[in-house]
Amino acid sequence: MNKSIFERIDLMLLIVTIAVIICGLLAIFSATYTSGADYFSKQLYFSVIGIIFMIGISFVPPRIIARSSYIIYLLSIVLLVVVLIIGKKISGSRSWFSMGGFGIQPSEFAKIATILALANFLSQGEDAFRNVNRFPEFLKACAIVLIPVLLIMKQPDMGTSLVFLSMILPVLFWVGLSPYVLFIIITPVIAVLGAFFGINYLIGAIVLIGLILLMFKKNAFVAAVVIVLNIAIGYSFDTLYHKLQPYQQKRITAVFDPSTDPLGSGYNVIQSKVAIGSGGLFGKGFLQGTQTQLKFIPEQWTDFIFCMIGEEFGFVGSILILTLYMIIIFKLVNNAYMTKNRFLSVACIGFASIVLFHLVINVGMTIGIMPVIGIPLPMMSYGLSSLLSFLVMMGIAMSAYRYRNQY
Amino acid sequence: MEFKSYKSPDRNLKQRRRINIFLLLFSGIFVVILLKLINIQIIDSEKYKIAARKQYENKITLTPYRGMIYDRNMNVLVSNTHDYSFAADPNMTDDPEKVAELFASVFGKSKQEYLNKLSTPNTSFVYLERGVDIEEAKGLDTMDINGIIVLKEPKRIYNYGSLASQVLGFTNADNKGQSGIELSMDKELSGKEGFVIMQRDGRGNNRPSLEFPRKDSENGNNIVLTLDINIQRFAEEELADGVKKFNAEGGKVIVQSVKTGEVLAMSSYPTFDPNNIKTSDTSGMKNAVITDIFEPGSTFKIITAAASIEENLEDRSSIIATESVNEVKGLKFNEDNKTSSISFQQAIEQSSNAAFSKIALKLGPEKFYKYARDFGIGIYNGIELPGENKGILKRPLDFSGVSLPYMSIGYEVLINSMQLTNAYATIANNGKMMKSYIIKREFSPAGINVFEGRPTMIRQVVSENTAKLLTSLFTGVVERGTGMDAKVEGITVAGKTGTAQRIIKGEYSSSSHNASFVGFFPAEDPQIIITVIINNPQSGEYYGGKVAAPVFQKITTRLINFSGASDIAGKSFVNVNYTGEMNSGIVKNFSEPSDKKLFIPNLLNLRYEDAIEILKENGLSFETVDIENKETSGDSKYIESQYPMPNETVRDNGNFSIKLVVKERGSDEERLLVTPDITNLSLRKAINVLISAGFDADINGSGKIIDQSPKPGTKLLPKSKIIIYCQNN
Repeated sequence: MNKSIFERIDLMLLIVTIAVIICGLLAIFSATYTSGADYFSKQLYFSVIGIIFMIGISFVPPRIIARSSYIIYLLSIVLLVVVLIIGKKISGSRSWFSMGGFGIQPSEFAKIATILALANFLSQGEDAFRNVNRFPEFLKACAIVLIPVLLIMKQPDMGTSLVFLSMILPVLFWVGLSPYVLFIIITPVIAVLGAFFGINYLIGAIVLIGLILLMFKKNAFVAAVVIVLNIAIGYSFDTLYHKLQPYQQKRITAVFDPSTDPLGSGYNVIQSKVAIGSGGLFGKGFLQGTQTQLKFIPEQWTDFIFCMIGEEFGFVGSILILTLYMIIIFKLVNNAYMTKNRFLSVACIGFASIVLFHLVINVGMTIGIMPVIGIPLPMMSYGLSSLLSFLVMMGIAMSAYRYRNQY
Repeated sequence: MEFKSYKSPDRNLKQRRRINIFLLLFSGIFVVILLKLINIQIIDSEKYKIAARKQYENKITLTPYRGMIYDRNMNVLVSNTHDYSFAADPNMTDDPEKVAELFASVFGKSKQEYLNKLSTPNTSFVYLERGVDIEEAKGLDTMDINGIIVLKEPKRIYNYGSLASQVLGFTNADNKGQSGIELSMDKELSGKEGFVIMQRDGRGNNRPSLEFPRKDSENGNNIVLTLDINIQRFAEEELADGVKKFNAEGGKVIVQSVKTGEVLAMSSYPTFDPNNIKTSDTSGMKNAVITDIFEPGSTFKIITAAASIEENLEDRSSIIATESVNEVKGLKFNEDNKTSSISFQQAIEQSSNAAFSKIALKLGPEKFYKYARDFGIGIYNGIELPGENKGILKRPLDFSGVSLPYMSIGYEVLINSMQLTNAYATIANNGKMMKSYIIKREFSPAGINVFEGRPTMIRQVVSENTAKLLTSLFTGVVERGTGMDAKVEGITVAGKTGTAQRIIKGEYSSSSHNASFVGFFPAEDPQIIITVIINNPQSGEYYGGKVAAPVFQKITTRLINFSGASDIAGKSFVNVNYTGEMNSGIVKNFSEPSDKKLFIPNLLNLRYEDAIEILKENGLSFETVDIENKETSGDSKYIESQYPMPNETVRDNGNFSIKLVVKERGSDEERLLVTPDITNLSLRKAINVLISAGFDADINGSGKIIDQSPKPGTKLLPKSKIIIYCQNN
């Protein structure tokens, strides 16, 4: 073993991750500057612990992680059940354990556990990945994800459950799910989107689905069943929509026109757009953002931390942050591609899709192109559980780099 | 980033294709986010910057108090009070129906009117009511209604009503001077607006900003006029009486100090009430004394007489042959005694038109013009009041054949009343013409003199001898001549009458006249000059000696017998010569600031007795101005306004005193309010109810309201505190 440090440690991922964390700390410092709330030092403390933890994990051999993945998964399921019983209820959802002044969110750790369990399951093919195009295998893979999703929906925490769902398709696609099956899976999404905008759009969506199914030239019966199911789904969307929490309904409608609800769910979006927009090209300068410092955006240090970057560091700052995340995501995909370890390859794709989903939803909502779904900006938003869980992911991704030649 | 495929175990084509699909997806998403960021941070950035500033910057204007206006004895003529204005932000008004209903009930107007205003599109500010005084508002000013903006707006209060109204002028709804002193001294009186920029945070709290400096407002300077409000009152009352008695169209009066040119009173009839501008018509608003020009008639003979004496053409006993010219173009040269010749003295005493036209012809157009000009005819006087009309004095080149005789007796020449007054004042002042002025002093809110008006001599028009001779001849006018009705018991009056035919439809009318009298006294050492002009008396009498002279006589009698506080009226006129410096121009004078500073306590709305007590404790002297009734005393008097304003620091110049404007209010019993029942209401509602009923609220505990103290139905003074007891259940 006479390799240079560059061969053993994924320096690029390490440096970029630390850069993102530092940007996050600056943002939290600024967002809490006038209120004097002590989120900065807590986040700083956990960042240091988290980074050490991340580097530590990057040295753990993949087979140890793989072997313990099912146990970790089971443990996290238990925690998700327990939190429903003894968890602390905060703003309507029971998703927190309160431990010595810190809140712990088991769903954050269940994210890693679920990815690891799924990766472990999918990597145990004969000499390749399991064939998910076979229905039983596909169903099992989905079950691994859906069990925690159901428990989290029970809390209820819609945002986090969507995060879990977001990783299924990229991961299955990575291990060889055929585009045909992939398309069938996403047809309900198309139908629901159509139904949301009205009956004409729903009809359009169904016609589109039918045409694409024809292009695959597969089993006509399956195609017919899919179409009928989608019509049913589209029609029942309305009832489903009304079963959502009222605040979630409002959030969804306000995405398309925040001004319909300027003081309710639209308020945050209007305020965050004003903050980011008023930052202009170069921003107003650190601690100089009027909207941030005068607290126009409630709880800005959590989900709306990106506003502070946009306002105080401007377009240049926003692009810098997005570039850092792009590097992280590309790096994760690259690690997934170059590692010979199938387990870690799948895990890295899972991490990449989770980071991407968080990024798109979070940044998208602050600039008004995504619904206001309360999920944090990875490693920047204040939140200890979220921070630690992302750092563990980065640690595992770094281990994929270190052990890229181990099967 | 390049994907190093050489190390991958699954580097088959399929896996590469999957990678490419991932890449495509990521790039697509990033491009969408990037475009949106470019859109809001670069393209639309200005829009968001404005939106941000609108949210966080809350500029609050600090309105200065307009300066006060005093008369020469420091009586407060004009002071300040407040009005309320109600405006709405239609976007923020939760329940326009209710708001409209509330306003309709308070102001007795139709609900629809307010609803229309409340539905004004594209605005965040629309006035609902302006200039509402505190009693009219019925507590609306203390109510906290969403979207309703209450503005406290300063308003002028004219403490003497219509007295001197044309001199003082008035202000508009924005408190800007529109006429009179309020207009000509608007800049000095206005002061400077200040502002604070408050930053408003996301919770709607204002917090003072450190980046923006606070600029305090500067109150306007105060103006002391040369007017004496008592003389003003005598002049206005007697003029009004005269106008009514002789069934005249109107009249003008001016009282001036001979030695200094200070205007002591000035008015024209009709007048107006500056406290109630909306209703009165505008006819009484102009200061006709300086804005109206007219043909003076016989009073103008002073020019001809002075010139001919000065040029040694005539003296007291010269004989003037009067020919039988009795009428030219309808203008009557009516002589009572049809003698063929009279003495110069008789010509003046009897006001002989024929004699004066002869004298003027002897004088010649050039000389006549020169003297008229020197007496200030056709020239602006330059008094500190707006709207002066300098009149018309024809040049000799423009004279027609009859111009000179006409002009010698006061026709074919247009002058204003002040010019007439000054011509006589020049004779009264031994030939020295003084500039009329009305601003005695301007001092800053801190009590420092910024400007001091000083007597200004314009020129020596005629010699002292000429002036003395004319004065004694004018004495004869009152003793024996046309002005006998101007005789005042105890003093010698010198004066001259005038009766001018007015031009009606291009012809001199024999039924429409301007009657005038200009007189000064005491003739031995003249101090006061009074001009009275009555326009178009229609009761039969129209001679100046019969119509205007009696008004002069009444004003003078009241003036010399006045026993109140005044440095002019009621004096013996022996020792009132101006002893200060006399300047050829008006000089700015800054007094030396003294070191001793006085802090002015807040006395507003206190009971009179309590205010006096506080002043005594602080060792401050005071003067009171009682608006309504000088005699009222006791519990019902309250401090309506004070000068200087509360919390100001003033330099003590030794004889500083606070002016208190005292107003009577209903007795305490009448003002008692009944406390409402607020139990079972929500806390917020309860506070609204209490405050709109005129009480203050104090909250004890939290949660639901369980009790109140005092109990409902108790009678209390307004602004009493009601304690609300709350408890969590």
